Amino acid sequence: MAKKTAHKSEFHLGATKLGNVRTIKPSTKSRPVVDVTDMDSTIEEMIDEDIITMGTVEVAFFFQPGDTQAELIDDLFDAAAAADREETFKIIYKNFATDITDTFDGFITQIEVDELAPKSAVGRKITIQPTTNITRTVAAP
Amino acid sequence: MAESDLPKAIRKHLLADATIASLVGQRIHYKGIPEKSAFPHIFFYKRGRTTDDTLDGDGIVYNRFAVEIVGEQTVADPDGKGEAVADAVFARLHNSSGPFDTLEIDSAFVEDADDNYVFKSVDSDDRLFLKAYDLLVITEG
Repeated sequence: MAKKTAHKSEFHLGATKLGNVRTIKPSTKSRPVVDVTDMDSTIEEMIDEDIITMGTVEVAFFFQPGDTQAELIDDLFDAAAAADREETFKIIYKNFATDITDTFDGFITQIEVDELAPKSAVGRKITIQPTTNITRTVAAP
Repeated sequence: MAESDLPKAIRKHLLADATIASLVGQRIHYKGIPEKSAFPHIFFYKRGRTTDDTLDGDGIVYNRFAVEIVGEQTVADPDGKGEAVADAVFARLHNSSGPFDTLEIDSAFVEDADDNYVFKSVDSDDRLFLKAYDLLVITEG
């Protein structure tokens, strides 16, 4: 197994590779645990919930208000119809011998601009709730 | 931007200030002191460089410099014009932005160096006015 940094990783919104990405926090998959302990149990009995819970994806950017790519995010978030707020996103791991692409659909639940401070970058973070599981493809770059 | 461009730009930016130029002439030295340099002088050197990167590698660069101002004390001039140079350097650099010479600067900030700062441009403090600043120059990577 190759050991690589996340250098050059990419984040795509629809067909657009977004620039100025500082960090990407991919989704955490989980299966909630259900307590099925009853009077016959001798220990606590737990089962998994069967369905998968997809955690949110967080992407942090340098931010220039009004920038064309920044506006893509705002336009998606501000769309009037729920169906128009859903989009396909990709996270591409670029530093391995072959590109590894995680694709999922989702909608933006939060846009958070960082605190403005004189010696700090102007940045913002978006939070995306996946609505599908992740499809992973491995392809030559 | 080449690594060596910023010190040159800082020097030219200081020299372009009429007050500073009238006080120190050309005696703004980067990294080394010419053998024949007199007082007062400004000496500065780079202390470090940190970056706030994007995943693509560019981003914001935090360049840190030490700036020494040294004047020769006399009975007639107890701080050897050092205080005036220090004030002029602070006024020129602190809270500034825009071009330093031809180089675009995001912002620059000046703070006093800490009490344990060891001067590099002089061997002793005998009859010398000594003032040291920490200079932070933020540029786009």
